[in-house]
Amino acid sequence: MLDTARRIATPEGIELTLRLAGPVPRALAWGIDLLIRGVILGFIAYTAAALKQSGMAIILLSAFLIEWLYPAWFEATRGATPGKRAIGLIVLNDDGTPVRWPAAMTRNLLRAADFLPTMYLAGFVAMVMNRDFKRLGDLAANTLVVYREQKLVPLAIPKAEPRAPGFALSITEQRAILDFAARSPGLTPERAEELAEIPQTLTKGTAPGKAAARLIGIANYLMGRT
Amino acid sequence: MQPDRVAVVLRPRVGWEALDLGFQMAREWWRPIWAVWFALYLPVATLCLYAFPNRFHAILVLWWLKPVFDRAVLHTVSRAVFGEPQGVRATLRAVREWLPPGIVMALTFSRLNLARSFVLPVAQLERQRGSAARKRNAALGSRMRNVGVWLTVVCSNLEWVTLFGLGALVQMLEPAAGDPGPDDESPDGSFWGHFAQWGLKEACFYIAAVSLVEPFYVTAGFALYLNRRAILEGWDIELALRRLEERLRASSGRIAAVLVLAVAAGFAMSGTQPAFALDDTAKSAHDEIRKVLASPEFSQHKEVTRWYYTGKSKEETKPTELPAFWRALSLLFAKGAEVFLWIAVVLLVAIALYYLSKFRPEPRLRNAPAYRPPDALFGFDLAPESLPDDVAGTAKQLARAGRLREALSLLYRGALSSLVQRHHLPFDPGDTEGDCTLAVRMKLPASADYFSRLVGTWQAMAYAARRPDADSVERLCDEWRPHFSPAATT
Repeated sequence: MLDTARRIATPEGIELTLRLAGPVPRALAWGIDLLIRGVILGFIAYTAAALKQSGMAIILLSAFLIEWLYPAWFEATRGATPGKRAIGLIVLNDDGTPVRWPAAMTRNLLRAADFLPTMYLAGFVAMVMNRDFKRLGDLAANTLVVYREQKLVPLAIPKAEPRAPGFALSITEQRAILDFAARSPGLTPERAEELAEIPQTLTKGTAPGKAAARLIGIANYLMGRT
Repeated sequence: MQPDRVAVVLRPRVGWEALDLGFQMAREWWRPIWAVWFALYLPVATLCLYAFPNRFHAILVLWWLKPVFDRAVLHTVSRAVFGEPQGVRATLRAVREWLPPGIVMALTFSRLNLARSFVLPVAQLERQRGSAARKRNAALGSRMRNVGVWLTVVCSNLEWVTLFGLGALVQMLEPAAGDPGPDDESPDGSFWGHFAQWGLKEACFYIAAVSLVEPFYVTAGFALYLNRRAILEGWDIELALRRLEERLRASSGRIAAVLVLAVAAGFAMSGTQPAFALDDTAKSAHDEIRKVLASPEFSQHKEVTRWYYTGKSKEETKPTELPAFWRALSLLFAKGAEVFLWIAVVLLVAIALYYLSKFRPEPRLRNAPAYRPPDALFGFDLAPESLPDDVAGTAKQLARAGRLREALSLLYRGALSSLVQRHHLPFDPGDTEGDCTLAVRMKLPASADYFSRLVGTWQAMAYAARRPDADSVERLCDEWRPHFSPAATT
């Protein structure tokens, strides 16, 4: 089964799912970062222009520092540049741990290779050929760019009379019923009913058209509502 | 569309993630996708380049026709996703299936739709038209259309990146001869300005860039569409609920079976002794324990590599047979290499011998005359007959008489004569005083100190005209005898 997620196991035996980020969101994040860097540099240039010759030195030095250290500093200390943060991305090591300075420096210095021959063509080609969407810098530094985990919000399950399912359900099965209940308001009523009729064993004995309500009742029971 | 036959993992993804799924699809099924792309695109591109002398017009037509090629890619990838992968030939044969639906709109009003690849499946796969299509697009695109627009923006930029990247790459690698001279340089003198003239080379770059990016664009748009539908219609829930139902059915069947068995067993066991049952459970518990202990949680694996002698290898692996021509060629190479190696060995041995002979001491000739002590050294006559019998005594008398020079020379001459005649030190006529002293130190270490003192005194007087005092000369005379007189034992 084709997926964009990569599962890794921690030494404690916990399986983590990392959702890999591909070329489009990363290109947009890069664009945002480019904009921010441009604004910073423009501001510096505007103020330093008053200093004539030495102002030029300041502009060149800060251009160098911003170009090479801006991404590495943000990734090593915050995990993501402002652009990546805006899109919802974060840089991690292959094993799911946060990146530190060495990896952040490596993957950002290797931009020079990704940039070849112009405008990150090599990086793009490497990314689309790689299972984990790694550009050359990521390959060298063993890093991944993944989607930041969203904050968990409680499932909004419509209130209904709780009903015991009558069968022992595994975690994933409970999750399926809860998902159905939470997403049923977004489905068309016909489709919701169609879906609810699939687990006939659970919805046996319900009046026609009431299967969805039964499943929502079970979901309420599973939520612990009384 | 049946969700249970979908070959990708469906879960509600955020928009960007759905695009990534599209890129993964293109990577997974790259063979049929690009095969069908090139099968259609390359002939049309060639035709366009041939038909329009102005390359720019050709490129414009190719750009305008993009939706046509997109449809072939979408057909291929949608088939693959729903578990019926199709080859190039099948796709081309099914042209009536994928080309006509909504193609006129796609090439006219919808050509500039910013979410082109996102709305394509609605027209091509769902065959919605007119206001129905608009409604459907609005429903699907209520949250995701902006992602589709961003996809278009990024992909068109990627196309330009690829175009310029290829141009820059070729320019970097091109020998200097290909460099545009100052005459035919474009108005603003840069590579980019040069591009505006759309030569054949640049047209090829454009075709390559579109070929690289466009299939990704189509698959990403399709994935976005798929994700949107999966969310709206709960495809992932459908799969999970189906699985749940299957499990419940299977397990309820099992429960019934277990009940029947238990009743049957109850009847059967009513007459037997409980000891058997106990025994049985103990045995089964034992098995259970063994099984648990064998599980990976209770075992420790260590990989150890050692060498064991396992006897001669029974069968030598047969070398794979090569065609006769290649075998002959490889044999020729082998022979050549062998000859070369032997030549190298012979050369090495020859060089070794040459150096050995160069650094070996000169061998003594067989017929060389036997060593004859020289008759004279440093102009001294060394024949024993020329010396007085009592060298030391004579020398002392001379010294007493103040003729120190003669006394010393006599002592020196006598000493040399004695060394040559009696001790057979191999002095050569060309030896210096130093050589003699060294020879004495090697052969007669006991006399070495005295001899070097004698030589030193003599040298000082003979060459530097430094007269020694009479006492030291007399002392030399006194000490001469035990070292060099014929009577002295050494």
